[in-house]
Amino acid sequence: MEVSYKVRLEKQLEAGLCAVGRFDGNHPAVACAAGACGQVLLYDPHDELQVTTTSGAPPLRTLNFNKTITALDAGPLDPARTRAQAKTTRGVTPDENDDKVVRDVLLVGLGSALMVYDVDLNSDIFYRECPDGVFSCRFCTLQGTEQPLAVVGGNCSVVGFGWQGTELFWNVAGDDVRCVAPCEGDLLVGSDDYEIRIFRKEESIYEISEADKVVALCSLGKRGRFAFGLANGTVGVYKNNERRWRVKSKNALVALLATQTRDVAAGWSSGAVTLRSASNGQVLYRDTFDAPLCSLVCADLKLSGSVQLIAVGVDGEVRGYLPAVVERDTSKAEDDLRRKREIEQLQAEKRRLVGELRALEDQPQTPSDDAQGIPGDTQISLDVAAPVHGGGFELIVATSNETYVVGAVVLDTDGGLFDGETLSCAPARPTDKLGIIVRPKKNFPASLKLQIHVAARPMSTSIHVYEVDYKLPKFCRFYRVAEEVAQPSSWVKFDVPTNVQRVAQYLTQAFVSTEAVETEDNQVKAYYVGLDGSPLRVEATKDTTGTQVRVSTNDLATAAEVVQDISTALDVHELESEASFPDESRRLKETLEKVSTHNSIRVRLTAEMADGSSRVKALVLKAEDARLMADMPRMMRNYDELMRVNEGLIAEYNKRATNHEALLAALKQVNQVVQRASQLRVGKAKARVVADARRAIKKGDAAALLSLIATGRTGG
Amino acid sequence: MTSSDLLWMALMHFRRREHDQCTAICTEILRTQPKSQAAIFVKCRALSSKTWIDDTELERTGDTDLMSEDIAVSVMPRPGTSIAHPTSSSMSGVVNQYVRPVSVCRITSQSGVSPTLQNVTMAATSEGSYLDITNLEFLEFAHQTAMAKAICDYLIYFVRNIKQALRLCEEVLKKKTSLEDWWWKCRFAKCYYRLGLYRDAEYQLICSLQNQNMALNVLGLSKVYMRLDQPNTALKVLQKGIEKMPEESHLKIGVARIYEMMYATCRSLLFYKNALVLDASNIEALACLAANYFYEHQPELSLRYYRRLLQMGVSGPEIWNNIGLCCFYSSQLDMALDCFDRSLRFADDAADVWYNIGHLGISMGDFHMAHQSFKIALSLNQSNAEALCNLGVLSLYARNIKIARSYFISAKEVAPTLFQPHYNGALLAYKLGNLQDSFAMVSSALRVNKAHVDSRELKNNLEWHIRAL
Repeated sequence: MEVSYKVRLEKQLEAGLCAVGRFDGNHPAVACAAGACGQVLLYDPHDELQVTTTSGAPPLRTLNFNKTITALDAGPLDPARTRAQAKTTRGVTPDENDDKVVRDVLLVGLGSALMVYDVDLNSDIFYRECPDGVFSCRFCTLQGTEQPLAVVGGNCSVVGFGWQGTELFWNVAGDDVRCVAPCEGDLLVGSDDYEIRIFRKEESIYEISEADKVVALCSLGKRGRFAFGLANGTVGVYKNNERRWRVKSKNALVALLATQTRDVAAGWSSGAVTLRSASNGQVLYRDTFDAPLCSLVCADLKLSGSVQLIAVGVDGEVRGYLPAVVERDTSKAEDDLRRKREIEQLQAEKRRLVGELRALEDQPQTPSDDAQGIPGDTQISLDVAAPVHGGGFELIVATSNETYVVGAVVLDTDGGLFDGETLSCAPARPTDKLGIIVRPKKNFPASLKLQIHVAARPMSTSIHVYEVDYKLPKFCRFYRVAEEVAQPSSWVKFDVPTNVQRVAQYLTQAFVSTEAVETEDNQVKAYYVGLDGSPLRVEATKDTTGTQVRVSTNDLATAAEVVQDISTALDVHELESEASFPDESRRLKETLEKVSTHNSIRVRLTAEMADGSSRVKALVLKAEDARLMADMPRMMRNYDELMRVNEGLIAEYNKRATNHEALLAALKQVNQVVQRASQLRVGKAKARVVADARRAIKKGDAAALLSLIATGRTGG
Repeated sequence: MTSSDLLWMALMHFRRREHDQCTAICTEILRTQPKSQAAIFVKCRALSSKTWIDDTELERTGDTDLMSEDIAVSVMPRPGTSIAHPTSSSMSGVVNQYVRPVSVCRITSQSGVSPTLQNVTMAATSEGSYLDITNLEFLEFAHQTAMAKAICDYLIYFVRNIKQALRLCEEVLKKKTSLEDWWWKCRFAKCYYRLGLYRDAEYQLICSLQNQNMALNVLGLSKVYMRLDQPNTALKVLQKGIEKMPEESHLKIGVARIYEMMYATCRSLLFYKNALVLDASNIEALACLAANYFYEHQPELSLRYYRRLLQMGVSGPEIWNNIGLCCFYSSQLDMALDCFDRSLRFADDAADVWYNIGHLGISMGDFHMAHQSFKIALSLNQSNAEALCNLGVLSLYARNIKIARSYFISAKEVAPTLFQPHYNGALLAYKLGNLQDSFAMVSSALRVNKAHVDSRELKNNLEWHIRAL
């Protein structure tokens, strides 16, 4: 890679909001968002209509959207919108081949609305209010829909619009959707609940948990490979649902892009641009900007015939990179590459050996000094104990002989389980046992690394470090208790086509428990207590076709998680269930009512504000008139009135903002309930619940929604 | 008379469009029976019909809108995509010391100018309002569709209390039965449009169109897009409407209006003609075609259209003025004078007519009459720059050089965008030997109109002189 050109736009740009498109059908132009008042700047180096400014900065076209821009993308939404059409509309005679040239349109997310705008014709294609908010938007071509969709990620929801503004796709996610990306006909969705979901048509085929909020996703274009970026600065690559590699950086990730050569380019808030190989994460190229990076795009901006990687900084600097000329096919280059790799391997070996040598040198010179060392047959045992108080469970580390455990460190390699990534414990008076209280923040089967420091005496200066791996069970927030827990008011009931023993086995390994779950005459009863003290009962009984499982818990989310995990563990692909969540249903009903009241209040407040603002305009004009006519008393009166109206307007605005926030929260809740209701089922039933729920929400049909939770069908 | 007879009378008056009498009778009924719904209904209808305006045409923006933020997306739109920056401004190459007779007035079917924003909101709840809108009495009628519709129109068109109208619409739309009713959504959109919430208006209109394919909605939608300065979107909407309703002349008029605003005269005329094929007595199309022929120097053809308008019973100062001008240009001077005479009889503001009569005088060689007419025009309208300029020229002919100069100066002050006074002033100064002033003035004339050949020549002359000095 090498920098082939640099341009300074001399404008401050908004980080992350940048897109490139052929708006006139021929020349790619870079569109960047600038300023808080919703401006989009278009940099088109080949626009014949524009004159260069005197300062030498390239000419920019400005588009005003008058609202804060939250997302930006460009793409060919409607394949029929050719260049020839645009030219005839504008009264220019089209050329012969203009019919084949497809123009791109601009997709602008405006907080709570989506606008698809045809730059060349100065015309809207559509404008849709999205009450769920627009946090991210992308053009995607998905399986099952012929036309490209404008996919919008919002408040717990993903919506896809066709080019006429019709809603062709809808699905739910667990939290705010920060990024969406197409991936070979599937849709990648990353959300704030650390999850990456992959949707094929309406069905989610994979759900992957990551260590932090997912902020960027992009397809690598072959065999289900895609790159992801997290809020904590991690970048990595997945193939379907298994992770290939990941690296972590201290800076915040702003942009992630797959280049033409299928490498992963990442832009950072420090201004760094790194290019990594998709297969192993090796750094191929590095460059640094003075300012934080704004975005990365791929386009042939200079019309040189090959696509360049273009990096844009927030200070308006644009750099284009051309791939370095490498002769990959010649045997010499291959030879070189092999030699380089071998040298690297040898270097790594050397480093390892040097480290080992140093460690040996540091060891006590006199091995006979028994006072310092510990017996060679020392064994470490790991056990789980019941929660002490305030939830959590205890990992108990014990040695097999008269040695002391002076400390233990728990490392969470996946992250996201604890507040930091580690837990440590070093008692003031070490014994041969040490308990570490673990309070996971979420249910996740993380693999923990334990470092246990063992010494012969409590105050010994030399300690032995044992490393033990420990795999947490999936439901690490629930601990099994022997005595019966209170019966929760809500439950979900479903059939699995296996025997009771399998269910018992599953329960043993999925929850934190000290002993295996036993079956008693084809019945399993297991009681758990969560970290927050909430009861959970799982009962399984044999019936004619398999096993009926009944999960009782007050929390819909937990029930959904259990159903999903059981179905994966027992290899069930289609699952219907019956549920009763009276508390949740009541809350949902209340929320729906809240939504409708907030909505009607919103209409009134909007009218109120528009009225006020037109009055303000009139008053400004009147006051100015009075000033020009030197009629000071009237001017004062008008300005006085203006001040009052203005204050009123601000008060109205505050009311409206609170109302809007409440509305957003309510809508989010509704979406979350839909998500969980769908997760009480597996396979087709799951997708059906989502689709039916959308219809019910649109109609405002609360009864249908409740019946969806209970039975998975609208009919009741 | 019993109240039912009174009501019958009111209805008769209403049918004859005698709205005032109708209202008076209804008020009388209501005095005795304040709860009479029939009377309320008829009164609402009468009052809103009285102040009804055809709001399908794009109204001029008020001063307040000029100040407000730019709602158009593109600041520098490509040519042919916006009305703010039309393709080519049609500069008529007038090379005459006289300003040519102005104002072929636009005659449209509009019965009134719809109030601009500040009028709407500042309008006091007027004297004729008998429904106590502050007490929200009207919301009681939300479940009676006919009554609610009458009240809604009354609120929008007569009381002009958009907020209340909006509340009524909202109340009605809460019912399941009216969810599919395009009318309410259309009114919703109307309210939003008046409040300047164009995006909300757009959404309501699209919904309304989905319920029922109505030309009114299509026109409303195109108006919204014009407000957002997206004429191409507006055209697209109208074309789609025309595909579905090929017999609807209003849509064609709408298209023609937009093309007219974009200075695409040929296409605009085509659509006006199309509209006339569907509706042979469309006043706006006839008037626009007539005006266009007039400006294309075919006053005889134009005259035919105006005659057609007269036959249809359209009469007013503008039309007589325009006919007069057509006659004048087709050299029927006696007819022209007659027509101006009639126009004067109708006119409230006759300055333009007098100005045109002045021109008639000039071309007849009757400078005295011309002088008198311009003077009258000036007395009626102090800032009539064209009259000032022409008075200046006339004074020159009468060898009143000082007076002529002062006329030119005041013309320049009144209308700096008119290039004739600049040029005339420059010419005068040149003749008087005041090269410096002359150069300054001719430069400003050229700033206003670059294409003016005489000015350029004069400037060249001046440059030669100045260089010689």
